[in-house]
Amino acid sequence: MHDLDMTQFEERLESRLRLYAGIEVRPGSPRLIAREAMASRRRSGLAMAWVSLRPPVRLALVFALLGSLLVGGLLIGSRLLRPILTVTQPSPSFDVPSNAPLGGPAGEDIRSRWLANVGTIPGLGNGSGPVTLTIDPTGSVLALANLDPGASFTSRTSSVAGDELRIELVSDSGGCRAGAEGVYGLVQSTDGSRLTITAVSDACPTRSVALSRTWDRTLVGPTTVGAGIVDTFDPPFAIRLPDARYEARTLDDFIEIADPGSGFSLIVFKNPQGFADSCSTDEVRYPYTPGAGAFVDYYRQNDAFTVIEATPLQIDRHDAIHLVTKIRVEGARCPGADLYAVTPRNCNCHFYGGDDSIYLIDLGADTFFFQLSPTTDSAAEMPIINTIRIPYVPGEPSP
Amino acid sequence: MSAAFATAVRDESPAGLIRAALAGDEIAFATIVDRHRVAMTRVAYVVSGDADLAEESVQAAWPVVWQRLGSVREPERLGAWLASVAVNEARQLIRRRRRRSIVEIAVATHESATAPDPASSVGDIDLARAMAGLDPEDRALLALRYVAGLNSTELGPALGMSASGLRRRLARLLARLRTELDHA
Repeated sequence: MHDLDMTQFEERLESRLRLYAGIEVRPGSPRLIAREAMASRRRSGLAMAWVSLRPPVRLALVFALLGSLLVGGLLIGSRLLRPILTVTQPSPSFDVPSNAPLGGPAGEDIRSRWLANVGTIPGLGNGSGPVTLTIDPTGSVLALANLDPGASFTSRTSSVAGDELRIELVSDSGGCRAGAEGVYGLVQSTDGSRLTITAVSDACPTRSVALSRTWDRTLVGPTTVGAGIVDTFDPPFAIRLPDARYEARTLDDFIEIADPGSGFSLIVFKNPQGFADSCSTDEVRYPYTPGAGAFVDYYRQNDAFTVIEATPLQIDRHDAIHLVTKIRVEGARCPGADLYAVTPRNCNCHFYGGDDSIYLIDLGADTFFFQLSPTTDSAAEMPIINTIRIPYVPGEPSP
Repeated sequence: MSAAFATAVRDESPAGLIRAALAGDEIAFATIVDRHRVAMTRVAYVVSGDADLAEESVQAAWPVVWQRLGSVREPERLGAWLASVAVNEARQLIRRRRRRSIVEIAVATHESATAPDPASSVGDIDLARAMAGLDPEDRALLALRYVAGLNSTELGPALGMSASGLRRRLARLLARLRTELDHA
């Protein structure tokens, strides 16, 4: 086919596709959409139930909720006898004082999402469980999550010097006024997986209580350090990847942590399940049987692949198997096609198989699938695979 | 975009909006919604071929956008990133629907504000028919490449494909469409 012809065809196709896509979109309220989306983290699993409802039902529920909030707000408001910690949503205006100094970005190595398993913090209403600290990718803003609503302590970094970070509260939060300044000392573990924050001074005492602790780096977001934990799985796990500029993509029981620059990535599935026919796009599942051995058996019966190696080993004291596969060439039924190979059992997904090196770890009734890409060999992969700690135990030394 | 948003947010650049939204600024996030909702819906429509399903996909995309907004590395490419989120939601929605019934692309004449180019060999009806014959993965590729304008380095991560696999797939797809549309 002539290149010029194809270019012209692509131009025509692009033009027609844009016309085809030009449907009228019903008007909607960006504020309401934004509010619902921003509440989705707290709603977690309920979010999926919500989006599955028909729009009229959703609308009726929204009106019912607004009505309840109005009535409830009037009742509660009339009974409040003393001021308490802010319990409203974060200020929608985010109006940074115009005379505030420009933010100084925090170091690239601490721009990440951090997690701490804490008990109840007095006055902050967090209950038990993890609290997260996010230092945004620009290093200019930090915020806490999973505390009392309104107590995110969203702060701007106003200057950074050595191991000290000066921050300034952006809006009223956790009983403190906007503009409250604090100075904190930062100490990272050698591999960067942990960050200990110590208050030097802070005009906002509740922020000092919330921030001053040791935080574990999560790999579930942009990070330039590869040692950390993945807390989107049950149970969470820790791993130490080579330092790089990582981004993460998550689906149900799946994560991909990738450095787009180098192409290096880690993908992890929980409870991998195969497809009945890897040549088919119908995504009919192969019957699921628990265990790493059963997953190897799935590959052995799959005529699209050849099992090159299935070596038993131990990873973090758990039974595991190193599985090496290749795409079958001779006698292939669908040569050159994308081969539907695997999905997490709990995900409506499909992933293509190839010449792969897979590490399967049995943990109770669950099986975890780890793959480093591009595939090299076990000698190069094992130094990374051996840093896996699953389940990750808070407070345990990093791998 | 409404004037209220313009006055409430100081830095209206994509980077400024993302930064403010990540800090919990609802108005900043609403501004992102306002700017990109229509484009996302149209991209999702190319994947699903169904306007209601496209709008549902985009509605489901916003919580995902909110949770992953911190991973946007190039704020000036925010629109492309949002399109890929919408396309992935549309693909997932189609998969879920498939278990109940087959999702079909409507082949009815598409009403467009612009009159079709009679000189073009790619007529609207022919295009709709050709799209109906593609699987959602191929439609997602077309949507992101030609409607959302993702470049080749953005397409791979957005669709979970390697660069070489992507090139092969796109070449096969273009050849197939060209055959179908040029001979229609």
